[in-house]
Amino acid sequence: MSHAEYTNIHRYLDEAFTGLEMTADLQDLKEEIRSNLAARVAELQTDGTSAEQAAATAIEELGDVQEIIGGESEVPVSVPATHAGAFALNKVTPRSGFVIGAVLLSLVAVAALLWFALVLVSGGSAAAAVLSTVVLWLTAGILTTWSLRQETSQNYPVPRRRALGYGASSAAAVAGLTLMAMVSTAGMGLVVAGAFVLLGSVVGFIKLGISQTNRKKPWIRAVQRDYQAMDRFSQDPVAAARFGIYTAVIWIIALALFVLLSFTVGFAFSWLALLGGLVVFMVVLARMLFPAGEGAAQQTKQK
Amino acid sequence: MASNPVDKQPQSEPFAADLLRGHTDTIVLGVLRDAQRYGFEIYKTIRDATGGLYEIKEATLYATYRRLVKDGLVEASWGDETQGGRRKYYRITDAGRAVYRKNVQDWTATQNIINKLLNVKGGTP
Repeated sequence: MSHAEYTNIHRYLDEAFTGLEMTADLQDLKEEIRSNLAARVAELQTDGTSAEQAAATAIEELGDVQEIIGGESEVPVSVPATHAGAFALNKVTPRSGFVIGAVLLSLVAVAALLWFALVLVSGGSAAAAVLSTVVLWLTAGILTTWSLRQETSQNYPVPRRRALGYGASSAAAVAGLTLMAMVSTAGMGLVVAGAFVLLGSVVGFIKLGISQTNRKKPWIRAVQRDYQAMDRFSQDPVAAARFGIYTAVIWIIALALFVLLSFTVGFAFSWLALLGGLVVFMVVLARMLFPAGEGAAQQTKQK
Repeated sequence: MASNPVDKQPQSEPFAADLLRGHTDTIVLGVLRDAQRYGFEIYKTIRDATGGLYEIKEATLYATYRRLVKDGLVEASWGDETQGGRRKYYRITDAGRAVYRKNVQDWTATQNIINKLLNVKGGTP
């Protein structure tokens, strides 16, 4: 295809895209090519080329526009059968050092949490309270950062600085919560301090969250594209919306119960409210994703 | 330098263009490492980085962007320019950075092996 005679990028593009069904993707591509051509024309003109010659050169440099369009409209062939093979190819075995380390760190975190709870309930020394919380938020931060730095079968590792950011935010969240929990032993000042630390953690998570980019591996994205519309919530947006409302109600009630029990019965039992909330949440999730009627209906259909 | 590729014959290039083309994805990821850029900016950065010695065909670049976006290695978004047309910007993702780092490592290793096999001393012929 000869296109040296074109001296106007807009006319050239319009003619290159004639006769095609203008999907959103194609329109998007056309606009992208147009803006890039315009940028090249502007650059050539600052070098002293005439407008017409600049357009002709830019179009010439673009290469075969039909080839670009052809690539766009080509439908990717999805072969779900190859997914098992893709998983085997991309399988990443966790490093044993990380697994052992993570288990040990979790044990330390649980021990520190129990110790902290004991100090709160039975009123231990201030040093014990400080030491147990420091251990707790350090382990939380290290575990978060370390886990995010791991390459898994599905995900690439998070860059070092961002992983450290997530770790610091988690550590701050734990620090804030523990500071606020010490209100009964050390007074209201700590609640304010804890609230500020918690706020810092939330701000950190928001900053990281809005700047987070994809870290899934290409193969898992291919699998997700093929199975995208298979789960109940993407098939039935109403069910998804209903589930969202249920979730909000469950957690508001659980949190309210937690606060109420904390003040009346104490911390020794109030956490049961959160556990109960989690149980109800999981049951509702299971009921929403796999409705009881549907399995039976499918079975009768098969008969 | 006003480059005029019309009189440039791709066959007479003093380097293995095929080999270079095989690394287009990694080259684009490398260009996007420090900042988000739009198509012509990417093209210009690559062209200027080699002093005009090597130009990737823009048609090849469009295919590369599409593949990188599909694989989640870069993300595309339209910017809002106050004057002139809008531009489609590409920015690298965490997955893209990991792939870039791995490809550079692979290339360095391959380069070493080829240098050894071709008996090149040190790495710079």
